[in-house]
Amino acid sequence: MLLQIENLHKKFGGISAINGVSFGVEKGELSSIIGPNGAGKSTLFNLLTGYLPKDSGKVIFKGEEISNLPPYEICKRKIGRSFQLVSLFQRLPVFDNIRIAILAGKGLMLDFFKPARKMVREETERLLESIGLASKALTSAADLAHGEQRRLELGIALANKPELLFLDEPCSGLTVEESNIMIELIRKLAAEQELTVLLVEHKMDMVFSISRKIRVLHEGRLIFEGGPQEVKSSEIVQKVYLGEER
Amino acid sequence: MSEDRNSTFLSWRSGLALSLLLVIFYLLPLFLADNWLNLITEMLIMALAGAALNLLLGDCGIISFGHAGFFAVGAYTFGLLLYYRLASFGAAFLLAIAGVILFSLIVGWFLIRLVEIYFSLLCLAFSQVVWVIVSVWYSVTGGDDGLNGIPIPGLLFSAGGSYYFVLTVVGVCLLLLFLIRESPFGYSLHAIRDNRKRSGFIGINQKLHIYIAIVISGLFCGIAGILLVVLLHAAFPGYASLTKSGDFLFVCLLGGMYHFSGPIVGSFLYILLHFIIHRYTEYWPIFLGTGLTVIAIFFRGGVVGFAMEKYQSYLFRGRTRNASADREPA
Repeated sequence: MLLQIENLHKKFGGISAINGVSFGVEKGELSSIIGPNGAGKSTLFNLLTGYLPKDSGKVIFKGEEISNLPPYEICKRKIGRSFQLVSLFQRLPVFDNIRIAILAGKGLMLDFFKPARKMVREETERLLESIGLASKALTSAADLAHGEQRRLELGIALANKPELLFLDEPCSGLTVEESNIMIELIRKLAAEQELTVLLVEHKMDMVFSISRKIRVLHEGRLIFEGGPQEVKSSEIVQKVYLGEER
Repeated sequence: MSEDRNSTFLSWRSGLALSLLLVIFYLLPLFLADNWLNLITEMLIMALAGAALNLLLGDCGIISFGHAGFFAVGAYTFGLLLYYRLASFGAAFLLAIAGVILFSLIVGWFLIRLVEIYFSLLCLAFSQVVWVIVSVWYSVTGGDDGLNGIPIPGLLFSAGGSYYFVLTVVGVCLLLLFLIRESPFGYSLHAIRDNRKRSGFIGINQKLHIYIAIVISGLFCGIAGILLVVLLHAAFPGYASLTKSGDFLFVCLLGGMYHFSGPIVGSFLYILLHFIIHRYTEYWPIFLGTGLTVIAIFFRGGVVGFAMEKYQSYLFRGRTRNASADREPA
């Protein structure tokens, strides 16, 4: 197991956002978490990446307990994440968005006198190429179209060369066409870089086409785990989730 | 690759312009009367303080209402050591730098625990502590009369002497600040400014970086304070006042906080305007207030930001790194 989650709990006031979630993620797995609004999907990601402190439970990555570490320490252990709402460095050009993420991923940020604009150029260009933003290198992140911002969001998450990548609704706000491009991109990058990907998504066709395994979260509990076909035919899942969608 | 055009920051053109500027600055004492020379010395000191503050303000997006505290700690440590003949000029200079670093480390330790308005107000609180200490401790600091007649070596006593000394120190400090701004550390501050949350997830230890930025910023602001003592042979409680902190913020806004040259240009304009307006009227704050209003409403990018937007197609062939930084992002 690359990632092992054991009996994770998180309460906000009196509400249990995550209520005893346990599961394991195999290396190389491309899997999804689905669930209705408020099921606790984003909270789970925030717990796994150190943004929120857990109440109890364990998160073990490659044999090490990581649930008490701050985000920058978790990033160092080669775990990346993207956000549901694009979270970019708005004033900076696309090139520097990626360059800074690469520099930080390599731990080169505490260098005070070397000119940064001469550093990690080729790597940045390669990553921009792979997410299809090479022609936008000098545009400010704020000036990109939404679809491009989504790809930059993914690019920043990839910059520390993660082994495990959490993607929080990578297709949110995208058109069908753009979503298909994004799905292909994720599939391609995951295969090329031997990534383990865990994604949260609302678009069902995307979830079913991309994931080998699907986990269903409902009111802070994991209620089902299985392949796309099993999930589609599961009664309990239909009741809490797919039923509402139709 | 198009990125190469991006590196115009030290192209032959800007290199030539900088060297020319330096030559002019070193030749100035040959042409200018002493009072004008002192005015330019004052501008250089203000430029250093403004550039130091701007490492937090423009580069890291953190507002300090109390940078005069660092300025005064530098000035008074230096001034007191010389006034009581406790150290030679050189030793006092180094000890004052050590004092400012120590003060910044202590203040920063508290500051990094706070964000936004609480951060800004705690900066103010610390500077007010410094202000109270220097203005009421008559037996040591001379209270609100200040420390007068601080012995400065003969070589630096004249207008020309202090000018050359200040020019050299400010030049070296600005160069260091520029290198820091363009280094990976400087870039990390930009990342924290633009998106504090995300900067953690890409592997930046924000608190540590902000702590270091506070110490660097405080250090250079303190050096500016030392230089003012060299120029005036005196230190006053006003160095630690809220007005002084406001002046530092103002020069950053006036010049443009998203450009390295912003606070430098801002300082020159500020002191020149202050000097000219003061000849005709004592109601300088009216002009200060009006100026600030105009900048806040019409020229968010400051003088340099405005000029860059208007003329950068003539000055540079490509876009500069912060080309669109003067606008508010969508």
